[in-house]
Amino acid sequence: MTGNHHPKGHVLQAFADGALDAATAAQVAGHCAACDACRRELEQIGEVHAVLARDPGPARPRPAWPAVQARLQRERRPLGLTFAFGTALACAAGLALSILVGGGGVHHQVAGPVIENATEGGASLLDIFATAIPEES
Amino acid sequence: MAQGADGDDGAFRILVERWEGVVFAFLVRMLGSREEAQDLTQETFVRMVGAAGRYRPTGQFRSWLLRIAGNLARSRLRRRRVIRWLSLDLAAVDPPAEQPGALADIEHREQCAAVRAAVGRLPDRQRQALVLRQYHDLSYDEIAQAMGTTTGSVQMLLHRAMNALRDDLVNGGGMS
Ligand SMILES: [Zn+2]
Repeated sequence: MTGNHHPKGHVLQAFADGALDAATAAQVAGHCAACDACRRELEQIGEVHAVLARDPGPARPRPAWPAVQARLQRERRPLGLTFAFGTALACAAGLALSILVGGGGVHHQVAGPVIENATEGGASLLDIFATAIPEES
Repeated sequence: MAQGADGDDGAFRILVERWEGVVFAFLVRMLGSREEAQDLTQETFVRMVGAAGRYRPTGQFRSWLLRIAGNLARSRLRRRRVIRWLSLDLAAVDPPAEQPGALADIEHREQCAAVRAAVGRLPDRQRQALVLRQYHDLSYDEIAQAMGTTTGSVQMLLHRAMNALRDDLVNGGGMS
């Protein structure tokens, strides 16, 4: 991108999205000030964003809580089972697995996709509230 | 019986009510179907509760929640390989929240349909990145968290998605 080289497309896109660090953004801005082709590219990116913005999104859904609560009440299990499962896997994987496999559908963890780097016993509800409530419009 | 919510249920209820609109809108754009989105919105929150013990307060709650929703959406999409988007019609697009008049409404619905169809034609991961950026205003880092990938890969996904949409909507589709 230095000198006369045009920034690559994904860099221009990140520039338009405000996702570049300040130094790189300044370089790109400097290049675009002197380069018609890249300015046109940026304009086209803006045009696509404007067209996409014509979709205001779906109308509000039915409230999810009644159904969620009903499912939680049906599926709720003692927390201990989850921890016991993790501990069993860590301590004696082979044996524990064979027992669990033999036990069929006994362990039916509600928890969904594996969250990488997740730590056991991480957050309380208060922690979740701390980040979940204030933001977003 | 449903009235007997304990403290945790009360807390989860607030979270669900606070975030269901975001999760639902994301899923509608991922799946192209209100019904399926409604279904998976519910599933997302059930899993949120199940995974709450593994939530890291250092990360963004929004990215974490949308990651659960995104994984559910992508596994649903993998299962139905007959892509519904190919037969998307106007009836599948919700009317806009405000309706200024019949003619304007039709035009608006057509535009929405064209935009959603074009977004729906993107490959799943490109669509996920694009929707999170364009409609949920996630930063590249947050998108990377929500997709379990790197910021560099998010850059490439967004670049490819925007190129495809440009060809589809602006250069080819005559919507400008
Ligand atoms: Zn240039």
